[in-house]
Amino acid sequence: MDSLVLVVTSGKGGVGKTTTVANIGTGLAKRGKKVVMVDADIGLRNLDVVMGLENRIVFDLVDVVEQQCRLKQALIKDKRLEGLYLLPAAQTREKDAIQPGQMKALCDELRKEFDYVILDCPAGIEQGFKNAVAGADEAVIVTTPEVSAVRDADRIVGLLQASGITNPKLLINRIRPDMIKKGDMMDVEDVNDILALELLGIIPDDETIIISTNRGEPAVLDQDSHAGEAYRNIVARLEGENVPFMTLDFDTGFFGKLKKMFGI
Amino acid sequence: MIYRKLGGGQAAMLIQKVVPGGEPVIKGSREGLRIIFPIPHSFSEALDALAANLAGAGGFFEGARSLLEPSRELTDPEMAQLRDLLAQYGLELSQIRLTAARAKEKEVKERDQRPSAVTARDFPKGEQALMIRNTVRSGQKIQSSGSITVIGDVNPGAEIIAAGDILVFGALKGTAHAGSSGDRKAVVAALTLRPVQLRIAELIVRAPDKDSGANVPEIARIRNNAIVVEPYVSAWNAAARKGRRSNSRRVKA
Repeated sequence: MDSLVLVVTSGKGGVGKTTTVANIGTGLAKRGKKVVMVDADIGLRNLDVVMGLENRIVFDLVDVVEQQCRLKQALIKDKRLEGLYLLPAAQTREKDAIQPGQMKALCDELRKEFDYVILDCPAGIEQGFKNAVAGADEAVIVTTPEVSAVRDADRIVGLLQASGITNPKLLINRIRPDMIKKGDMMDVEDVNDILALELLGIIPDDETIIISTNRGEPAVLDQDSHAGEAYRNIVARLEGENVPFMTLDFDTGFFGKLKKMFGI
Repeated sequence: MIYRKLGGGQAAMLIQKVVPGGEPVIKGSREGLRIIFPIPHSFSEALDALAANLAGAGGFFEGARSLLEPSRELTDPEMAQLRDLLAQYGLELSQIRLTAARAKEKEVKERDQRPSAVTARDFPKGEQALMIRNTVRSGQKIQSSGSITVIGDVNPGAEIIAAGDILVFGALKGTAHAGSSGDRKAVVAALTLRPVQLRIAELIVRAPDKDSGANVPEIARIRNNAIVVEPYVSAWNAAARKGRRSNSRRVKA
């Protein structure tokens, strides 16, 4: 099978890139794929914490690029799943410690070993972004239903096109059906009116994500988590399955009997 | 003399190092008077500078034991001149040791020969001590070819790397690497020892995935080729235990 190098990016910070990488990576590995997650956020690494693998880091991405160690030495095997690996970012360095060309070479090296290479892009559009997208085949753009996040996502779409990634997929995170119902939040259609991208998935705002992030256990493994279920759907779509979009009405709590299908 | 390297530029400002200049310095210490005796140019100039310094003290030091720290090895005639000078001011020369880089090779050799008990270990020689009086935060990296003491916390994501020991008067929650140039006698001690990862010489251990351990000062060192962490027992207390004076006063852990 051909391997895929996928960059998860957003422009704006705090919309859920790292959480998305952790969940998509874990979900794909759960389906038996060989996956490596690469934290490209040098100096502000988080993916290792979200995956609960922080204490296993000895070498990092910058060490590999600077040939202080072999690639295999820097890859951290996940503690739960076979075939899932993390390449952590350096924490005590800065984005300019690596160059786009080096990142591309690294991605091509990883491509030989893995079915999926998933890159966690830093926020912003500077060097870190340029590094992260350099080696990518495809992109997932994460946004939340907020004007500012959508604006930044739109900017990213343009920049991705400039670097040859023409059809990024959209993931809308942290949707709150109760607020949409009241007209206080953009719904999926509003967002995609602006961005006009292929929709990869929608994720409800879910406190189980915060719990799982703090525990270092990706929510995608939690069968009771709504967000986890949304991520499982996204993983299935990445694998080419046709999964209907989630109904963000769980019949419990505040939402009552609102039965509305979000998405296309 | 460069022996520190920092990740964050700002962190450089947090560092206070004890470093000898070109002038002789006389300090009181546990072992007696410590005379730091740099020899930047000629021996006679250095000797004159020291004589001036001693003269300035006006007999204050009379009768004290002294520990001489020359910046290079001295010849026999030079030694004789120094002894004469010190004798003039009533000082008894009890020990001579080299400072800084000159002493480094010797120091490592000596260290390896020392018994393994921490209690038998002197404070590292020379001027290789680095004192940090701040919280060391994520992304900051503090390196020294000597020992490092932090008065404050070391947060997750921060790194402390020392060729000697690491002592944290606070919570060590980041990564610590003691004995980074291979000294297996190096130790890491902290009031709260919860490092993400701990390294001594070439050994690496990681924190258990679940937090555990008592909230007492702890010390990590190599025993039987593995890093072990144990509650810190003061030198005095350890000696007292050996003498089976179990009713002796204890340092409260």
